[in-house]
Parts: sequence; C-alpha cells; structure tokens
Amino acid sequence: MAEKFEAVVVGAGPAGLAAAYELARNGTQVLVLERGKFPGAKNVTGGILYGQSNSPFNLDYLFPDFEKKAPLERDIKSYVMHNIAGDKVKSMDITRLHDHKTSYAWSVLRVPFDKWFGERVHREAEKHGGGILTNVRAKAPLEDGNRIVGVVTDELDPIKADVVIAADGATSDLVRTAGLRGWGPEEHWFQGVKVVARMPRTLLEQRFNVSGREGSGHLFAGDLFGGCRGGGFLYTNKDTLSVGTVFHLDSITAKKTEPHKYLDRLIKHPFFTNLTGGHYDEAEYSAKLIPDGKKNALRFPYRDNLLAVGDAAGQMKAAGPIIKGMNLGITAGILAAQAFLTAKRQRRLHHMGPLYGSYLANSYVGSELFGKRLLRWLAGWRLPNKMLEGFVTRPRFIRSKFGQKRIQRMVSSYRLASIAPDNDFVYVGLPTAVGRAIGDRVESELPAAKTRPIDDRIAALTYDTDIGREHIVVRDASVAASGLAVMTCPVSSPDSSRGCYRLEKARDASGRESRRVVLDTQPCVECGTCAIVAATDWNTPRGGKGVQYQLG
Amino acid sequence: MHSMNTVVLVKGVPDFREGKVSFKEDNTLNRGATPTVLNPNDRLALAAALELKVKHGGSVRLVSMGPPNYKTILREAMEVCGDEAYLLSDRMMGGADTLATAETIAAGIRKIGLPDLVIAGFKSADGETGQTGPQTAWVLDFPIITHVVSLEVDEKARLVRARRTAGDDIEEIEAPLPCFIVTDPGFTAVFRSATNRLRLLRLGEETVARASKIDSVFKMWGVADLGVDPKKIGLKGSPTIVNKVEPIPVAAKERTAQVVDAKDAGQLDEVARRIVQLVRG
Amino acid sequence: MSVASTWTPKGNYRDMWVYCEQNHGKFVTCSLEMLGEARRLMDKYNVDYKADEKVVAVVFGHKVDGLVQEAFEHGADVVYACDHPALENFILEPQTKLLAAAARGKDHYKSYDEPRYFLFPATNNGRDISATAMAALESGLASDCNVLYISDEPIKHPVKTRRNEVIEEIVYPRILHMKRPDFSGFEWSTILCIDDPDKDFHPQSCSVIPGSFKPLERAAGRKGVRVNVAFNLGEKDQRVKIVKRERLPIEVDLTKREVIVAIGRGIGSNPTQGIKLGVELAQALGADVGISRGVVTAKYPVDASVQQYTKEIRQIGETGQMVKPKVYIALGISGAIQHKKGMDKSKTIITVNSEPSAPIKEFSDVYIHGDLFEVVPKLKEAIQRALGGKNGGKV
Ligand SMILES: Cc1cc2nc3c(=O)[nH]c(=O)nc-3n(C[C@H](O)[C@H](O)[C@H](O)COP(=O)(O)OP(=O)(O)OC[C@H]3O[C@@H](n4cnc5c(N)ncnc54)[C@H](O)[C@@H]3O)c2cc1C
Ligand SMILES: Cc1cc2nc3c(=O)[nH]c(=O)nc-3n(C[C@H](O)[C@H](O)[C@H](O)COP(=O)(O)OP(=O)(O)OC[C@H]3O[C@@H](n4cnc5c(N)ncnc54)[C@H](O)[C@@H]3O)c2cc1C
Ligand SMILES: Cc1cc2nc3c(=O)[nH]c(=O)nc-3n(C[C@H](O)[C@H](O)[C@H](O)COP(=O)(O)OP(=O)(O)OC[C@H]3O[C@@H](n4cnc5c(N)ncnc54)[C@H](O)[C@@H]3O)c2cc1C
Ligand code: SF4
Repeated sequence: MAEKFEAVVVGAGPAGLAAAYELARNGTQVLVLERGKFPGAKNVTGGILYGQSNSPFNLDYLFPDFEKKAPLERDIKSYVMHNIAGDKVKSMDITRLHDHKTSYAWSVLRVPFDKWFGERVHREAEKHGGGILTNVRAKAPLEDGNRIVGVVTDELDPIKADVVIAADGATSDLVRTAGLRGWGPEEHWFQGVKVVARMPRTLLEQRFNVSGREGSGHLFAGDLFGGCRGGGFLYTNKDTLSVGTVFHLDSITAKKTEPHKYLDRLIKHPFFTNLTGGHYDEAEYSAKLIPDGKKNALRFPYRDNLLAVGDAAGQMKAAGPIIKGMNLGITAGILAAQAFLTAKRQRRLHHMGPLYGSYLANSYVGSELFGKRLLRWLAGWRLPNKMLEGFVTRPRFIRSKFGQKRIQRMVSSYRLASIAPDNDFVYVGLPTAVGRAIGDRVESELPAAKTRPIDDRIAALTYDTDIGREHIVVRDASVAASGLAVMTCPVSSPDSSRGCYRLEKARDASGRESRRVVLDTQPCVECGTCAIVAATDWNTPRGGKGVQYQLG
Repeated sequence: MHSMNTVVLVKGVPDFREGKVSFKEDNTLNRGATPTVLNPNDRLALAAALELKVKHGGSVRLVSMGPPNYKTILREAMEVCGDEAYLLSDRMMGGADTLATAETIAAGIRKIGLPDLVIAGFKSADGETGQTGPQTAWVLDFPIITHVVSLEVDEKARLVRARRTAGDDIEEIEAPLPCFIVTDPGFTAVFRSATNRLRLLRLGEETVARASKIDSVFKMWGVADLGVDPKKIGLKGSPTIVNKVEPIPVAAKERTAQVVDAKDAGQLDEVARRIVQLVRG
Repeated sequence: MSVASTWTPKGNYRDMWVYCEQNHGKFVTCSLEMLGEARRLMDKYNVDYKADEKVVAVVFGHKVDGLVQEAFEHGADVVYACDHPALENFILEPQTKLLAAAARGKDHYKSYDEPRYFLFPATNNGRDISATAMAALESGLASDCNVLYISDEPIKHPVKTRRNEVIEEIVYPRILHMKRPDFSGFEWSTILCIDDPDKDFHPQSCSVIPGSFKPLERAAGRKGVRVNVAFNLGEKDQRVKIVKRERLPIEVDLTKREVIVAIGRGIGSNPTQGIKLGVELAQALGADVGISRGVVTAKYPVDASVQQYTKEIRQIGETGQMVKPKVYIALGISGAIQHKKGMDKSKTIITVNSEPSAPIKEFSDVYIHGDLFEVVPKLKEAIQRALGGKNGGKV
C-alpha cells in the first residue's frame, strides 16, 4: 500500500529546495527526499550564487531576508582573470562579465548553505503535513501502467504523489530511470575538482584586499593545465578559500590527465603562492560532474507528472569562466512549482509538464540554455575561428594598447562568452598568448604550498561506508573499456593503490598475466565521472551512505 | 482505545570517551574527575520506545535510580524520548548491586503504575553486568525478551513480536503484553513509512523541547515514597560487595619496529621463537 | 586487638553447580571450560577444607542423554538433567523456574538447602539466566569473571559486619573470589557474595567469560549421579514463545582470534600462491586468515581452492573486522590508516614487506624486510622448528 503526498521532491539541493518552498508556502503538502544525512551533506559547488536582474525568481523571491539570514560567505564584487604562460602572468579585470545581469553574487559553502535552506523548507512544509526526510534515496519513479505516479526508494515503502520533482542533481537517478536521458557522451559534461582551504580572516582580507561582507573572484587560464579546456577559480569566503578547476570532461579524457594534479599545479604556481602569501591549509577536497547545459539541458524536462529541475535537467550555464547552476536551478524549481500550482488550480494536472516547459522557455533559463543557437552555430565555424585566432594571438596585436583593449572587451562580454565555441583557442590559446606577450614574470620567495597527496585527501574525508553493497559495478574490467577511470576519477591515481580505480596485474591459475581495472567504491566521492568514462553500472549509494562533506 | 504505556530504564555512567575520562595515578578510574553521561546502550532502549511511540502513540516514562544529579541523565535521555522522568534517589539506595537495584526500580515502576512495556538497555558502561534488566523483569514478574534487535507491537492482540539474536541464530519471539524488553546493541528501529518518519522528526523535536524544561515533568522519589522494604535495597539489599579494585597493567603502545633482514636465517629463527612464545604464553 | 570472629551461615550449603548451556544439542564451549575450572576449584577446596563437595552440572534440553554423559566425562560428579521438547531452544523463564526448583528442592542426591557456588557462562543466554536465577534464589552474582579462587576472607563492611553500631572485622570462610575485568579491561574488581546478619546470600555465583579456562581432558566412561528434574511447568510459566529460529549467514569471526595472519596486495604478482603461503603459515600457528581491503577489491583471478580467502567477510580494518589478537602477522600490507584502525590494538604486530618505507613499519613490533614469497615459507619452517615438532608441530 503506497502512501500519498501531494508533492514529492527528490533532492535537497538549491533546485529542489526552491521548488519545495514555493509549493509549501502555497499550501501544498510536500515531501522532500534527500539521500544525504542532511541537506548539503553530499553537495559541492564552486562558489557563486548569482541573482539575476532579469528575473524575479531568485532566492530573494522566496526569502526577501536571505542576505541577512542565510549563511552566505562574501558578495563577490571583483572578478579578475589571470592569464598564465609558464611563469608569466597577465591579470585582467573582467568584472563586467561577472556583473552582466547580476543583482548579487554570493560565494557560498554548500554544507552550511543547504542546511539553512533545508531548515527553512522543513519548517514551511511541516505546516502542511510535509517535510524533509534525509537518509532516503529515490531509486526510480513509481509507475502505474505507463504513467509515473510517485517514487520508489531504497528505504521507504513506495510513495504516490500528484507531482514528482526530480531535483537529484547531475547524477540524477530519477531522470535516467524515467527514461528522460542517459549519461550521454563525455562532451556533455564538465568535471569540477575543488579544495576548500582555511585562511584566518584578517590575513584573507589583507591578502585579497576585501573587507566587510565583500569578496573577490580570481580565474586562472593558460598553459598550466596541459592544454585541457577549462580553467581554475578561487573565490574568497569568510575565512576560507574555494579553489578549484573545471574542465570539459572530454578534454580530460583526451589528454589522459589526472584532474587533481592540475589543481595542485595551480596551487603550487608562484603566482598563487604570492596571492595567498604562501598560506595554504587544506580543509576539504571534493569533486562533481557539472552538466554542460548547452548540450546537456533537456528540451522537455518532464514526463507525465514528473518535472526535472536543476542539474538533473542539465540546467547549467557556463559562459566563459562564469558558472551558473545554482541560480538556474532555483529559478527552474520555482517555475516547476508554479506550473504544478497553476495546473492544480485549473484542475488540469496533466498540463503541468508543458506548462513548466513554457515557463522555462519564457524565462532567462530557457534563453541561457537554448538561446542564440544560430549565433552559436556561426561562431563554431572553423575557418573564421582560425582566422580570428591567428589575428588575435599575434604578440604585436596583444602588446598594442588597442589590442589589449579589444581583448579585454572580448573576454568581458557575456554575449561573446555565451556563443564562444568550446575550442582550445578560447580556453588555452588566447590566455596563453596574452600571458606570454604581456605577462609579468612572477617568482616567489615563499615556498610553494604543500598540497596533499590523493591518499591523504581521501583519508581526510568522512565516509559512512555502505558495507557489503557496491553502488558502482564495473561491467567490463578491460583496460580498453574502463582504464580511463584510473586517471580521471578524482580520487584515483596510477600512483596510488588506495583510490577507487586501479590497475591490477596478476597471474591467474594458468600462469597467464592479465591487467584488469578494479574498483574500490569506499573512497568514492560520487562525482559521476566513471559513469561516463568507464563501463559501469552506476548508482548513488543508499540513503545516508557514502561520502559526507563538512564544507562542500 | 488503550494507548501504549512504556517505561524505559536509564542509567548514568562515566564518560569513557577519550578526552573525558580521567584516571588516578594507579590507573584506576577517577570518578570524581570524569563526567557522568547517559549509558550509551540506553539510547537503544530509548530508540525502541520512540519507535513504538511513533507507531502507536502513548506515553514514555523514564526511570532511573541514582544520586540527585542524575536529573541531568534523565534530561539527556529525554532528549531522545520521554514524556515524564522519575528519579529514584535516596541515601538508603546507595551502594546497590543489581538485585537491590532491580528491587528499587521495580518498586518505582509499581508506584507509577504497571505499564505495557518496560525497556532496558543491555550492559551499562560501568557495572557492565547486564543483570539489571532480567532481574527487574523477574521482580515484576513480567515475561522478558532479551537481545532484541527489532520490535513490533500488535495492539489488538496485545502481543509483542520481537527479533532477538541467539548465538548464531536469529529468533522471532512472541510474548503477551505487559512485557519486559532488553534491547541488543544491534537494535535498529525500522521506519518504512514516510508519514512515520515525519512523525519521528516531530516527536524528536518535541521531546528535545520537553527536556529543556524537564522540571514540569520530573519527579524524585525516596524510600518513603516508594514504600519499599528497606532490607531489599541499597547496601543492605545487596548480596555482593566489591572487595578490591586493582588496575590491569596495560603496556603503553609506542611501537618501534625491530627490523629483521629476511636473508638472515638466524634472525628469522629468533622471530619464529618469539611468535611461538607469544602464541603459547 | 581482638581476634576477628568467624562467620557461620544459617543455612546448609554445598557443592559447586555449573549451568551447562547447550545450543542445538551441543554444549557451548564455555560449559566444558567451566566444568574444568569447577573441578580444579573443588579438588583444591576438598583438600583445603577436608571436605567432600561435588561438581554439579545442570543440563536442560531435549534428548540430553549424550550431554549428561559428556558432562560426567568433563568433570561433573552429579548432573541435574531436564529432558523435555519445550527445552529444545533456550527460553529464559521456564529454564529459570526449573533451575530454581532444582537448586532449592530436595531429592535422592541433595539434602542441603541450596548450592554453595554457582557458575554460569557469560554468553547472552547464560548471563540472562544467571541474573534471573539469582533473582529467584535471592542471591548475588558477579558477571563476566575470568579469575576465580576460594579462600577465607576477613571483611569489614558498613552493613554486613555491623554489630551494635560497630563495624567489626569478620572472617568469612570459603568465599569464592570472583575477579572481573571492568570497563572493558583496565580495572580488575574482585566481587564477593557475602551473607549478612539477617540473611544468607547463597549460592555465591558468577558468569564466566568464555575462553578464560581450559576444559579437562575428556575421561571416557567416567560416571556420576544423574538427577532428573521434573518438567512441571504450566502455560503461565511459558509466556514467551519462539515462533521461528533461523541461522544467521555464516560469518568469519576474527575478532576473538588469538593469532591472525593477514594478507595484502603484496601477493599481487601471484595471488593464488601468495594466499596459499599465508594459509599454510596460519595453519602452522593454529591461526585464522584475514585480508586487507586491497585484496577484497583486487578481484584476483585465484584458484577456487583459495577463493574464500578473498572475500569481504575476512576484511580487517575500519570497515571490516576490528581485531586485537596476541599476534598479528601482516604479509604484504602497506598499513593504510583504515587498515590500521582495525588491527593496531593487537598485542604484537609482525610484518613482512618488501618496501622499507611502507607505513605499516611505523606500528609494527617486528618488521621483516623481504619478498613475502621467499620469507613466508622460511618463516613457516622456522616456526615449525620452534614449535618442536618436525613438520607437523602445532600449537
Ligand atoms: C566545482 C564546481 C563549481 C561550480 N561553480 C558554480 C558557481 O560558481 N555558481 C553556480 O551557480 N553553480 C556552480 N556549480 C554548479 C552548481 O553547483 C550546480 O549546478 C547546482 O548545485 C545544481 O543544483 P541542484 O539543486 O540541481 O543539484 P545538487 O545541488 O546537486 O542537489 C542534488 C541533491 O539531490 C540529492 N540526491 C541525488 N540523488 C538522489 C536520490 N537518488 N535520492 C535522493 N536524493 C538524491 C543530492 O544528495 C543533493 O542534495 C559548480 C559546480 C561544481 C562542481
Ligand atoms: C566496576 C563495577 C563492578 C560491579 N560489579 C557488580 C557485580 O559483579 N555484580 C553486581 O550485582 N553488581 C555489580 N556492580 C554494581 C552495579 O553496577 C549496580 O548494581 C548498578 O546499579 C546496575 O548494574 P550495571 O551497572 O551492571 O547495569 P546493567 O545491568 O549492565 O545495566 C543494564 C540496563 O539496566 C538498566 N539499569 C541499570 N542500572 C540502572 C539504574 N540505576 N537505574 C535505572 N536503570 C538501570 C539500564 O537500562 C541499563 O542499560 C558493579 C559496579 C561497578 C561500578
Ligand atoms: C572509507 C574507507 C574505508 C576503508 N576501509 C578499509 C578497511 O577496513 N580495511 C583495509 O584493509 N582497507 C580499508 N580501506 C582501504 C585502504 O585505504 C587501502 O587501500 C588498503 O588497506 C590497501 O591494502 P594493501 O595494504 O593490501 O595494499 P597496498 O596499499 O597496495 O599495499 C601492498 C603492500 O605490499 C607490499 N608488497 C608488494 N609486493 C610485495 C612482496 N612481494 N613481498 C612483500 N611485500 C610486498 C608493498 O610494499 C605494499 O606495502 C578503506 C579505504 C577507505 C577510503
Ligand atoms: S568512483 Fe566514479 S563516481 Fe566515484 S569518485 Fe571516482 S569517478 Fe567519481
């Protein structure tokens, strides 16, 4: 016998929580299911929660007082790109890019932030017979005939609902089991790897020249990432720094690199050493896949009464170094809730999917994800790209005042960033050329930061191991099918036997030597990478099990 | 309809966690300098009571025998589950062994009024006898199920159904209410319904709030209140005495490896002899 | 100083009784260990006190004739047996009632009031019945003891030896001293069960930690007195019912092992051979085999004969079993923190590793530097030599 709730939201990230809050405050009985031990336990972000000046449906729509109440870190006011070529660095202020249609830009740490958000949602939902249940993992939609009528979980009896909102993030179990999409190719994803480092508040404010609640953002691109398409970031928090790298997954696999090593390279760079005054005190390592919304976003993120929001629906926008996932998720969550509320009012529940679709299309979420297709297509043409590349990267051009101004304007343009193709030139060629042509040589008298080897990073994480149940199973252990995971899994390394993936050489009984890819799921941070780069059956662990972040 | 009445027995114990526990020079426990906390196993008894309260409603009363400062223990327990708290406290109850403790607790439970269920933890962290539960059940003449890992109540049939560990076996047990339960350290409450989980959260918050204002639901009873035979309680009612306490010598473990070269047969022989000695000794 | 007076109990007590728990028709090992210790204690007692008191076993169950004989052969002089289908599985209430009736009753063997001493196994069931039986007999007991001896003891106690408001010193004769490791092992308390002026507290009882004592060599054909206890219980004595009983899935329990040989990924170049070497070493020492997580996850293509040694149930560490044997021998294990957490309480840690910088060296007592494929066979031979036997030397 299935229990019935009016609405079930799966996933207590920003997208799900926004949807749940909007539903609850409009009187809906809403149940939120979260697999972590608490909202935020599983979640990582780089850092910046944007407010969109072109939409009313931001966090302040739900909580007008959030800037006073929420555990926010700093409002990021300046945004600087550091173009790196070897030991030469040219910094460029690109705050204009960051300010584009931005009403606020708070750096956040997801554990405290999601906890706060969750608490507010729970209080509201309780009033109408709902609330948040943690330690519950949704497995799949509950189907009656061919229709989705609720959810099936590992921990609870099946639950029926008039609407199921799938907000279970990039590795969404529901979107896949509902048949809305598969994992897709590597090209559809970024991989983000991050550390949070402690820094005493006064030192931080002095080093980064920030004060009060304000903070700064620093971006890093050029030749220090072995040609991978992507870059590094550093956002100031209150008394920590969020430092990370985000690369197109296909470029990591193509270059067969270990993502955490590039992050280390950034942290050890003399420029970084000078920026932080040689102070580096790593608190937490984390990683996660990020959908590339341009390719990954679902055109029709719904089926029957299941609506997908946030990363689960691929609603993630990357514009140059700007990453907007949380705000898109929040907006989409609110819109999904409103679609349900309207359909309910009109007594046309079966309409809620298309209604949600049209709300999305009419909002900035739709235009960010699906707009400017023609321009994008045009910008992707090889020939003009090559020509532009040849012209722009000429040192003479870069050194000229005119050239510098052009480049600065180019990389500060949100419009350009939105249509720019994902090619080497944009991510590597241009910044390297700029760094090389006009960068200052940096040296540091301070010793480079001591980064942690991967084994220590794993040892410092908190796990509640799902003993006896492997949430990921390698289907094909051959090196050809799954070998890439040894490199690309953020908690694996060919140098270590303690990570998730490793190669085992062993002789079998007949004396034949074989090389196989083996997996230990215990150190897994559930990023999702090996679902795509290796032949696996990939699932999230059961409720409450697996990695648990302290900062996020 | 009759609603479930449950009594949970809770005890205070020294906090043995590193950083909290304090030792005297001769390595015996320094009770004075070690804080007292709720016996960890009693949390499972409380979890069982909470599970039943979520599923069947009713009330949960906490009973402890100990010095007046055990009020903090009852409060700690109430933060997990509890509607009322009863502290049985009297100089004359001091020095009780398990039999005298069982007599005292049974008298307290009788004064409250016999409940449907009494739930005790397995061993306490200090006395560690595991005798108090079974002996209290005996004094009350309640049927008893020990080592319970999961629990269900059939209100209509007035039956308890429990799973208990029995060596390498797991047993399914049935007993009539009223009944005495001793939870196993492996006890787990099972909630398969979302509604019950929400209720669990709410009751959890309510009980924490109640614990912060424990005075209004707290009673302390002495020997006179219980009307218990003074000969059956305290030192007088205790057959056993603790005659001597000695430290058990523990080797402080800072290991420095003796390095042995495998190629040296003589050294290997020496290691082998050492192993054999250890195994035999 | 006046000479302390000697206590005389009011009742008549004799013998050391032992509750011999059985499970599926077999004694739990502790039952035989207790019989052995009871025999040793009472043999000495009979000499010390020029007495002739017996070791009395209590055997309850269904079809217990074999067990009764086994009890005789392991040192019991007398067996109180109750043979009834309702006793096939242990249920506390009926067992307690039968036991209390036997201990209090008079019969063709017993004319005294109650047993002098009573031992129970400190197993789950044994500890339970020790508690309820003493509640029924209104006496006291110590739980989880591992050292026992009998001697006279002078006592000063604010209640038990108070005479007219004066606390005297009184010598209690023939007291069973029951030593138990407290707080999971850092204090030792000696518990005594002592009569007081108004009331005798007999039997003096305790539960005994399994493994504390050695059973006697079995004396085939040894005979004794059997007393049959009548099963005269009604419905109200059998309120608790077992509806179903199932075996738990077989588990490998390494936590109670005294010697463990643990195998790690050092066997990687030839896993089947590596495991065989480890198992042989373990057999020579009467040890069991554990493994690191590394071996579990490696999914080595090993021979079927050693497959069982690659399974997660043998994993030692934070997410496996936490062990603390007397001797822990680690073969080709690097010593990851998660592994360490499960074994560094071992008394002596001996490691074989080819890499001098392996972290495990930091918490080893003996570090044998070398290739395990070469070292282990040599070590095994050296151990067999040290054990005295040629090849078959066993512990
Ligand atoms: C390194 C990095 C940097 C980033 N930088 C930024 C940035 O600066 N700004 C920005 O806006 N975005 C950034 N993002 C993207 C942003 O973090 C995501 O887009 C955003 O978190 C998506 O929110 P969500 O609510 O859709 O999903 P999540 O935040 O992933 O939430 C999903 C929730 O669902 C739960 N869940 C998952 N599966 C189940 C299940 N089966 N059952 C129950 N619960 C489940 C999870 O535990 C989680 O709580 C970054 C991401 C990364 C990794
Ligand atoms: C080091 C030491 C050794 C001791 N050895 C013995 C001994 O061998 N024999 C003996 O008879 N006594 C012994 N005692 C005395 C014994 O600790 C007390 O009688 C105590 O009141 C209960 O026993 P316990 O601590 O073993 O609890 P346990 O019987 O292990 O506790 C089981 C459960 O009973 C309930 N419970 C126990 N005590 C109370 C209480 N005071 N109030 C409410 N509920 C309670 C709780 O639910 C608890 O989880 C010893 C005490 C110490 C400190
Ligand atoms: C959350 C979590 C929980 C974990 N829980 C556990 C746990 O409970 N138990 C556990 O064991 N691990 C656990 N791990 C895994 C742990 O981190 C290690 O990966 C694992 O213990 C490594 O096993 P190993 O020592 O056998 O392998 P390795 O680390 O690969 O070590 C092999 C060793 O063998 C040596 N060697 C190689 N060849 C030879 C030879 N021919 N002769 C002698 N020596 C040789 C090498 O020098 C090396 O020291 C856990 C990890 C995580 C993240
Ligand atoms: S095992 Fe897979 S999901 Fe887990 S951390 Fe590695 S790549 Fe990510």
